Amino acid sequence: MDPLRTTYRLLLALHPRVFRREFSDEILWVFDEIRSEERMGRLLWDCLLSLLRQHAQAEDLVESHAGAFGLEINNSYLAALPLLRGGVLASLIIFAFVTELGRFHSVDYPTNSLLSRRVYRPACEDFQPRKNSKQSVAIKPLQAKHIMGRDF
Amino acid sequence: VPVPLNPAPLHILVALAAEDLHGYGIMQAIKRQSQGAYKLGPGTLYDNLKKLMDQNLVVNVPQAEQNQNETRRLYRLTADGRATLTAEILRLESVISDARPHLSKRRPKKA
Repeated sequence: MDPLRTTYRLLLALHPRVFRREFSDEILWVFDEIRSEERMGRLLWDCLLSLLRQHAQAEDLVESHAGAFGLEINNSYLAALPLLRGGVLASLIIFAFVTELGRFHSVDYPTNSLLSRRVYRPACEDFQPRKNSKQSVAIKPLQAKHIMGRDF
Repeated sequence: VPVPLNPAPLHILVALAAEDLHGYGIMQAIKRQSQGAYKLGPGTLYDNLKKLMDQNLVVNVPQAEQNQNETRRLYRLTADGRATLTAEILRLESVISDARPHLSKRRPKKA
């Protein structure tokens, strides 16, 4: 199971029903097409913004329809709804940032970055093979290549 | 006086002016138009497509008119959409023609 795709689907599932029924399959298809060329954080952020916009539009629609029938929306449930939505969205935004941060540090880590040089290179340079040990000497370049992602 | 269009709907209308496209095709066309400077996410794209469809500027291409091999939904610019795009392009042209003479002018020196 792909956790990022699942997160994206979850965000789509939170969209208003009318929008979801009409577009969610297509959006997911476009997501699958472009996910290799776009930053995942950007895609999740874009989906979150879409979620906000669609809910804002849906609320406008409900109010206008209710107004047309002479109804007033003032019960406590509807009053608390924006707060609930705000809480859910804030959690999702934090989750999206954490996910993106995790991806940055785990998958696409730039091997020649400052952090890489400071953290990993000293570890390689400090590696001292034991004298008279052919095996240790043979391991050193392999380890360095594995850690740094390039030959020395 | 025509209301100025936001960048996203403007790019979508320009992309659809040339041919009927599906969602991913629209994104690719916008990327080409702007030489990669303006990228639209799928959420923003479909938000704007929905809005344009609600305004009857864009419609779905009927299934009967689509290629048999094409399983994805295609979008098409309507006559209203083309008129809106034309009005926006004329507005932008007038903005550019007003602005161009001022670009070469130097600021007056302070006394």
